[in-house]
Amino acid sequence: MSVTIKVNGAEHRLEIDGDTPLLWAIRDNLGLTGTKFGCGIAACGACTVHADGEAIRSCSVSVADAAGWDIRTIETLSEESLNPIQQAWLDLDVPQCGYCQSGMIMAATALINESRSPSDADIDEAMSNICRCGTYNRVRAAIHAAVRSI
Amino acid sequence: MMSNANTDLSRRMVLKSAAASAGALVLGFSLPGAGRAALNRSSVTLGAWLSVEADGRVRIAQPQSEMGQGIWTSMAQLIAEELEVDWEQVEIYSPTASAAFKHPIYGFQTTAESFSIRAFWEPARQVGAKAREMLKAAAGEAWGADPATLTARKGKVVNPANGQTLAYSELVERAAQLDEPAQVLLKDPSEWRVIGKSIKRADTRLKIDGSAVYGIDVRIDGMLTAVPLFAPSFTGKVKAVDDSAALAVKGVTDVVALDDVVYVVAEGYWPARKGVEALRVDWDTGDGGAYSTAQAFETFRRAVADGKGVSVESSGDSAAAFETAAKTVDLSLEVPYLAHATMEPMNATAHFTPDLLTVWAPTQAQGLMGFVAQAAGLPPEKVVCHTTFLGCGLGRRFELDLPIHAALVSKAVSRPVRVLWGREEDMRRDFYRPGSVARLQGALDADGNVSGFRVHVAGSSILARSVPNLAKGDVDHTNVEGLADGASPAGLPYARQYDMGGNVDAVFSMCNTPIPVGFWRSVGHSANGWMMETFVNRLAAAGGTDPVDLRLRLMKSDRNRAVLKTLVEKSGWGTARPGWYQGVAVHESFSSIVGHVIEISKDADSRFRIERITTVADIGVVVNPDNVRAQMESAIVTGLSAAIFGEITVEDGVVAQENFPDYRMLELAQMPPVEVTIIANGDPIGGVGEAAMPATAPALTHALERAMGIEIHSLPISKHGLTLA
Repeated sequence: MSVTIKVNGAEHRLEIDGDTPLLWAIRDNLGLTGTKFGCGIAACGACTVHADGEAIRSCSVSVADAAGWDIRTIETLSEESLNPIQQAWLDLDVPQCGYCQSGMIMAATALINESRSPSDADIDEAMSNICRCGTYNRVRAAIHAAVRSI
Repeated sequence: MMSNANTDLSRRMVLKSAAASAGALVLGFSLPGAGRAALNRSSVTLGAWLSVEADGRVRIAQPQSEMGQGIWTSMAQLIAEELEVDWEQVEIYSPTASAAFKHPIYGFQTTAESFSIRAFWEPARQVGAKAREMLKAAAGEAWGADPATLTARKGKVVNPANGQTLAYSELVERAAQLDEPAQVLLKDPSEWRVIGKSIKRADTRLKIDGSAVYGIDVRIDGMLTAVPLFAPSFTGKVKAVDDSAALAVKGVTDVVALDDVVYVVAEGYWPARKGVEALRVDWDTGDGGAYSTAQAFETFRRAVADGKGVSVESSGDSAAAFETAAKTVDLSLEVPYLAHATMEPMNATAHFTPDLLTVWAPTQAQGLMGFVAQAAGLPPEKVVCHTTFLGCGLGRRFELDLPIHAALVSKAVSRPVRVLWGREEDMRRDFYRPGSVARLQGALDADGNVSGFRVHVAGSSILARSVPNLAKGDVDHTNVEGLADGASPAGLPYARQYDMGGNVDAVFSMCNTPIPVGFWRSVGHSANGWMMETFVNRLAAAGGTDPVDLRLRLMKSDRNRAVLKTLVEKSGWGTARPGWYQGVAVHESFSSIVGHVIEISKDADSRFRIERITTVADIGVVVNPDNVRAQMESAIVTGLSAAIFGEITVEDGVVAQENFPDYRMLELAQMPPVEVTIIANGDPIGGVGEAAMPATAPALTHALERAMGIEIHSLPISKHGLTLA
């Protein structure tokens, strides 16, 4: 079957089974590999993208359900310049292995778009992404730094 | 076919595009010969390491696997320091694997045992220094000046006598004609401008916009994706395959049966995954078809109870010491099997042709790819290996199973193939941190001094599986490191930070089982650090001594004592806030000494919160302080996750855990502030990737025991009715 999805501002008509997770359409069909596969069950957040501005876990949403949404991936965050979250990530050298960081950055960007001055409790709740490297304290510090910079 | 992606890969992994791409790439020069490593075991060839380009760029090949530990940056710092270039001129890239990059200690290209900076400390600086001297010699030739009178700084050679300068880029052609100097002097540490500085990580920019290429991101023209269905047990074999339904799935092209696994090959992950769901395989589950971790632990416990094994340390007369003891401590401890669960699931990409195997992989073992070629029926030299970024390694990516599978499946389908496991296969087909059981006994005399020490460890050997000649005499040093003093029959040393007196017996019982075991961050120390430190706390309690005082008395080295004393001071040991409970532990591993004080609070339901962690690390020499802090936090998080939640169990031959909900990780909301103090007094340089791990679990259990009034004799903590808030 064919499904049309809108990713990073462009519409893509894909010959794809409708039950294919959005993650695999993004990675394998569109070749946008910044969005990562971590668990396949929405438990780790590595695959986080924005759907109509909201952070969602793309491994657990079918491409058919995503038709009509405005999907944004990590690749579109910095087309002109780094967004404040990315800049703070760069300033504080947040990533280590970096594999979870696309998802972290997408979740953090959605958080500060929603709440201009998130509290630590807001951060705790919004940032449930798993990082095995232990970047958590820098993630928290970078979100606060990004907010201050806006 | 592959050139596209290949070029793309190397382009994207280059740190910075040339500041000034002045003209064409004229010739660079590479150092030809062997910088003789001050590390004695073998010399290293460093010719492929560095090129100074005529357009001003300084390209540094960084052959160690970047898995988060910051090696891209810190290794290049060593070279840039001696070369006297602006950091802005430096480009770092991941080179094709080469014998030129063999590890000075291991003899093949690998990243393991926190042994990159330690091993390349001299050789990498020699590379930079030799290039600097060649550029100075070229300038001397150009000016008719004695090179010894010239200085190099910020990518230029200067003649202080007359102020003349020549940029390195202008000297490249002439320098390329010169012989490599035999002897060069390294800079005095007082002149360091790059080493010891918190230089920004070279890979951050790539990791914040999705452009960093990990193994899973490799895309080769014509590439297919292969997803596995494994035998249910570790000893299982394929008997028969019914692939009709799998092959009927749209996008599935092939089904390839290997010995103990069947791969469904398709145009992308999802069709391959659907193919796996449709696949029917008849398995022979083999000897281990009904095996369980419960059986493994029964075997370990019996071995310890029998008291029989191989002596790994013996001095004096421990029997007499225990007979005459005023008090004794007898403690049995158990640690579980652990999975690596790296965030990037297991993968490798390969293209087999009858003449050459090409591998793209997030690997820690580039220098072993000859075995992969052989597994695919090629001579060992017929392999090319490209290293991607690693979405964490933790030791799992030292194994060759993924590249071998990719090579075999590619060979079977005559196409480039990316093998990609789901999280479930990653967790169920790991090489686990070995579970183990230990009995530790201490004798105290009437004055509370330790008069005798016995330890008996039983568990499976990693080396017996992976490098059997290093497990001679049924001794694997990794099973006893941190607990005993000595060297294995294969000559590999192990050490304990404490002097336990003159009456010591340490015994190891190697009990290998169908459960595969492997290297896991800090290896044997990950278990033995917890055991040793927990035992010392019991000794202190039995002798009525303060646990810090007893450690200070027993530690062999003033370095270890200094770490503990600094920890006491920085943490405010003994002066916890009301409602907070402190635990302390120190461990020495990878030539570093790291201690933590962990402070917790508890609520009425015995739920606990980790409030604060104070860490002190003596690493000898610090290359990049900010990165050292990051690595301390990193090992702490891995250590806390393991101590609190980590346990792999096998029932009826099958691993019970399959994904993060049943193999949990610490989350951001649970992460306490961490304050790190680094001691670097110029002592021998230590590793930083793993050394903070071993003391994490014992500091936490110490705090919990004091808070809850309980004794914790096995990990993980969560199985003792204790819940992390």
